[in-house]
Amino acid sequence: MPFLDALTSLRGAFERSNIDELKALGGSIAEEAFLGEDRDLVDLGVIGFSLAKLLQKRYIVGSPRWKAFFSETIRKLDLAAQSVKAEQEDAARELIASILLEVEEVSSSLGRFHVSVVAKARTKIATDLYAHGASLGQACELTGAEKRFVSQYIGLTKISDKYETLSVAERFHNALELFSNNGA
Amino acid sequence: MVSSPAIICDSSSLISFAETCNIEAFYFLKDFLHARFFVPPRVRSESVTDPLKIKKYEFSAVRLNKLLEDNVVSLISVPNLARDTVRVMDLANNSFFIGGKPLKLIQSGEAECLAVIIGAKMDAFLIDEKTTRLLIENPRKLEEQLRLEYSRPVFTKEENISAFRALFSKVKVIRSTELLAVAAKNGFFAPFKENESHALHSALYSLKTAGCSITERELTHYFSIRV
Repeated sequence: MPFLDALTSLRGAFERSNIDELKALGGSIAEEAFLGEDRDLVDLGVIGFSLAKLLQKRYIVGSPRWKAFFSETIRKLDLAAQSVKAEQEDAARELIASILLEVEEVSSSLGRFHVSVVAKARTKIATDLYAHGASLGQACELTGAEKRFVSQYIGLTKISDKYETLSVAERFHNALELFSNNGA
Repeated sequence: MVSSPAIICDSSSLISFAETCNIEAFYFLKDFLHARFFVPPRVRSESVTDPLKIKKYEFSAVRLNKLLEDNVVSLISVPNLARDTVRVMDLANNSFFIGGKPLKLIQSGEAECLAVIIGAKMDAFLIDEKTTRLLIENPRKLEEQLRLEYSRPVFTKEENISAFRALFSKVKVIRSTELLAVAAKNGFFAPFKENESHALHSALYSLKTAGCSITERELTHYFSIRV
C-alpha cells in the first residue's frame, strides 16, 4: 500500500471514528512496511493502532480536550497528504512525528495507561512483523519497539507454535552432548 | 578431558534469562560445567548498554551487565567481524522475495553472532528468536510459513540459502530452554529439594512466556523430564 493511500485511508477511518478500520489498516500497513522496510509506513501503522486505542476509551473521547485533538490530528493528516503530493517528504515526516507526539501527550495526560499507546502500538506492529517472518531484532529495529516488551508480548501469543523443527529429544541430547566429558 | 563448550549468545536468550530470574544458570554452567559464554559488541549494546538508559528495563540490564563484569559472559570480537556481518546479512536478507522485494529477515545483532561463528570456533549458538534459528535448521519451514502469512508467491533464492546454511552447518543451535534443562540435569534446581522438577518445569514455562520460541507441544515433552 503506497504511503499516500495509507495516509488517506487512515484519515478517513479516524474521521469516521471507525476503530475496526483503524486496526485493520494498522495490520495491513505493517505487512507492507516490512516488505518495503519502510519506517514512515510503520509510523502510520503506529498512528492507526494508537488512535484506535484512544477511541476505545470513552473517558478520553468524552474529555473536553478530545475535540481539539481530533480536529488538529485531521488537519495534520491533511497537511501531510498535501506535502506528499507536493513531494515534500520531509515536511510530511515532521507532521507525522508531530501527530505521534500529540498522541503520546494525550495518552499520558488523559489515559490510565501504564504503557503509552504509542509504545504499545509499536510492540503490536513488531509482533505482527515477527509473525510475518522478521527476526525479533529486525522487527524491533524497524518499528522502534523495545525487545524485552516485544518478547513478552510474543510469549503471550501462539506465534512460536508454528516453528517446531528438531524434536525435544534431539535438541536436549545435542545440548547435553555439548557439556559431556571426553574421558577423565 | 572435560569439555569447555564455547557458546555465542544472542540478546533474545539473554533477555529471556534476565526477565525470568534465571540468570544464575549462567554462573552455574560456568562454574560446574565449564561453559564459556560470549557476546559480540552489538548484542552487548542491545542487552545492556541501551536498556540501561530505560528505567523500565534498567534493572534487567544491570543484572546482565554483572554477567560481563564477573566474566561469566565475555565480549568477543573477531577479525573481519564487520565484513562477515554484512556478508551474513546479504545472504539471509536476499533469500526470500515477495513481489520482487527481498525480505529483510535479520538485523545486525543476530548477524554479528553468526559472523563470530565464522571467525572463531564456537560450539553452540544460544538464541531464542525463531527466524535466525530456522534459517540455519530448516529454511523450508520458514518459506512455508511466509507463503501462509503473505498469501502471495514467495520466490526463494536457493543459492543464498545453501551458502548461508553451509556457513553454519556444524553449529548447534540451542535455546534458553535447552540450556536451563541441562543446568537442571546437573543440579541447578537441587536447592528446591523435593520441588526440584517443579522448579524446572515452571522455569521452562516462564521462558516461553518471556518469548522463547518453544511450542506448547515441546514444552509438554520437557515436562516429562524429571531431575
